[in-house]
Amino acid sequence: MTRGLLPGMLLALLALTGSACAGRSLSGTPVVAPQPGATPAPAASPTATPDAQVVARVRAAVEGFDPIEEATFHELNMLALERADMAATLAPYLEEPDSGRRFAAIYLLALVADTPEEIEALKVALDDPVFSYRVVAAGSLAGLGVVEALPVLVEAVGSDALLPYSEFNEPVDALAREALEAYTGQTFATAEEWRAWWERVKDTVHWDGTRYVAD
Amino acid sequence: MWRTNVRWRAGLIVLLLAATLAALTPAGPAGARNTYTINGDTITVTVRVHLKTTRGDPSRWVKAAESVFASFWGGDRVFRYSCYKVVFRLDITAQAGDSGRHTVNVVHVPPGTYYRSTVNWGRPLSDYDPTQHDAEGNWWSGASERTIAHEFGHVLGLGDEYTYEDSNGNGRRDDNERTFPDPAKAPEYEWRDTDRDGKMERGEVSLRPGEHRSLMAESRTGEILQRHIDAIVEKHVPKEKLSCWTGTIEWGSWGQLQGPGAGYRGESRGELSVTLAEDAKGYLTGTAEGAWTIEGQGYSPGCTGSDRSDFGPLRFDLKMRRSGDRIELVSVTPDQGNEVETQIDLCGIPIVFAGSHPGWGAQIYGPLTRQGEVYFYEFRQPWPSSPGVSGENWTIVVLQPTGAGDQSQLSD
Repeated sequence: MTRGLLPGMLLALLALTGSACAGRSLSGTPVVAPQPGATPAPAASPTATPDAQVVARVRAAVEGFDPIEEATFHELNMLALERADMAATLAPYLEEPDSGRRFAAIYLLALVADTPEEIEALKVALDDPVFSYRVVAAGSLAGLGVVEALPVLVEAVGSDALLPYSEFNEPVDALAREALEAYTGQTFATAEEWRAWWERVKDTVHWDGTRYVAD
Repeated sequence: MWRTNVRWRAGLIVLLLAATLAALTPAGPAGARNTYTINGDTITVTVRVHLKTTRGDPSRWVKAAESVFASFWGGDRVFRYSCYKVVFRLDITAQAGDSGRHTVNVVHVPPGTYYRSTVNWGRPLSDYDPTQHDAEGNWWSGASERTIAHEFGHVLGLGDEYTYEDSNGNGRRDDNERTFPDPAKAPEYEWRDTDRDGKMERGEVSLRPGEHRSLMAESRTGEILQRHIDAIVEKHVPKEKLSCWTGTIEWGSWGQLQGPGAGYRGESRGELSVTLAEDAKGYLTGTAEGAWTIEGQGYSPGCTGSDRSDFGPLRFDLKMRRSGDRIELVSVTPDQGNEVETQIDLCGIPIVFAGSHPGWGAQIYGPLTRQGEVYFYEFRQPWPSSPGVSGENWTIVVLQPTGAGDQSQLSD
């Protein structure tokens, strides 16, 4: 730290007295993208018959579903991790007049479906009156070899409908394209191209165990 | 007697060990989830997560989570809270058996399967203490980086800041009703009831001029905002652990010299605003910023000259230490950018203001002492008496605690 002006001023005094005056004066990028064409892998472990406690939780989660409460979505996600056979428990809710309950049942069933019973139950949702619910069911069923899912997904391509209750208004379009590309091996830029493809293959397309092929 | 003595000694050793361990352990309860430390003027919040996956090797997801966290919350990013710097660290592991962590499940679903990522606090947000309570996340493996950053915000204790357009007025969110930022939760946005129906609609909410979008209201375009940092710090650090100090350092000197046929009078004046953060050891760390002026008048045969220079902004890193009713200077470091030329020119004669720290001629030779609400130091020293020379150096330092959280406007 300086000690102040004194030294400089003493120098100045000497200078002033000894010289003449000179006058100068401051993503959407996925973490890891789903792999198109990947083999559907719904079952991490064999599904098990749910115990009474899980059944009670499933019922409570569906009946108490409130899309504005993230905790109710979270409970559906937690139940999906149980990997239990939920067809018998969830199927009745697919006929509910209450759209929220119906959605909760479809969402959960779409996440866990891997048994014939669950697949059959979820197929009911392909006729749900709410289009975006049908897309949610179709997205899951497409990977399970259900051909009836494809026209629903094709219809969703190019749609401005939203995934139901999505947090930030995600469209059904992206999910539908992802499923179609993954399970058909086809890639089209426009909705019209997808619809034209479906018109060409709809009478012959079938599931070969890993993907859809047309004769 | 001997046994008692041994027990007493053993007890003392245990106490000493416990005290040592307590001093080394980050603040927060045992088995704490998130932790915080305060070191100097820096608060470090560490998010502790146990990551699980429904399929495959979790290590790649650990890396992915670390990468996202670094991009948005951590890395080299330094946030501010009042007078403190705030940094975030992620301590994430896939190893089981480490209790006291939040749990994140990375959920793999087949292509085309709808999954909405969630975080659950197990209680209302207002009761959630990230240092003590478990948050549990289910994050879709295909979620965007921004979605993951948003979910980390939940783990840190932030809530959603959107509402939904109740277009049919049924009082509940229907499947096709969109979300949009809620001005009641995110004051960066405003609602203008353009159709005067008293109902908030998506198209009636817009960002206020000059404001930034909120990550918790709009994940695709939003940012981490200052009020998010304020809320997170307040969720993690007890207010009594934080103390900010403000004050001023004023200094100056004047001198007058009178010689045969020549005279000179010079003055220097400086004022720095001081902002310091106190840590648990009583160190006050922060900055002093301000300006300095030097001016002088002189005459000699055939010339009358005057000159003045203003310097600033000047910035110094300052470290002090509080001990009871005294505060002592520990160190002062001038910013590289000060670049002060400590001279003026009188009649072509350069007048140099000497000092090891350009621009700061303050002398703090002793401790600040407490005087009521403030800590105060004053130094005045007349120049040594000599014929024709008079002058004085002076320094006044005033500091006072202001609490923390009351001056977030100081933040960058």
